[in-house]
Amino acid sequence: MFHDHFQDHFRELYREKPPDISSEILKHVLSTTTSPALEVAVIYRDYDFCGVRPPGYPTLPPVYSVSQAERTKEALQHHRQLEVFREIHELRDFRLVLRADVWHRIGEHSVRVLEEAVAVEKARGGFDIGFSEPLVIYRPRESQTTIRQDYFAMGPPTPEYVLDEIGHSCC
Amino acid sequence: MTSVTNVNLLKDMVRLFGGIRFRYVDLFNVAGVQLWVDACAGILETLRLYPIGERLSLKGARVSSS
Repeated sequence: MFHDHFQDHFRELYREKPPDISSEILKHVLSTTTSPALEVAVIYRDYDFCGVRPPGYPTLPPVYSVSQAERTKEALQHHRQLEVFREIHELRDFRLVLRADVWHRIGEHSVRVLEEAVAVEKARGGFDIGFSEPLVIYRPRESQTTIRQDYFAMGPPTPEYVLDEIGHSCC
Repeated sequence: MTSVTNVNLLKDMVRLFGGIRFRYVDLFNVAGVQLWVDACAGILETLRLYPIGERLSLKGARVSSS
């Protein structure tokens, strides 16, 4: 229960203090970038998925049941994010990747949520020849990541990240 | 970089060092992200975004350039 309150606290923190970068700045950044090939990867963490139990409950299932209203809210969130990327894509071409960078125990769940979001968007006609479907990929982690860890302990890149940068174009 | 709020400091760094060169940089709650990304606009290869909220407010970004 403590962890729930902790996560809620940080979510509120972000709401109260909007980060510097927003979709408008992102539009500016991408429209002014002159690199011929650009990849935009959206990194989803454990806490970005609805119904994922916070760390500290090893004996309970990692994903708990949530209401239909919450599922709908989560789907709407993904829809609006993809809408923003479609708008930005009108300014310049880029390859979009949705990456679930999550604890391996919720890997299947998180990929399903992202793939469903893409499928719903496709059914709505949200993709075309110009703005093609994003690639959904999964990168398992050995442990769960919390907002607090991301916020306070991002620090220098880990050797894993360094290898990632050298060995792959993106994800 | 985490929780940097002084954009002028970043501007001074750019001026003093004659630009910014980096392989990648993580930006978490950092003011002046636009400054960083503008500095590598010509060589930017990958932008990794850490979203929060439905309107794509962002809590952080990793900028990778060659």
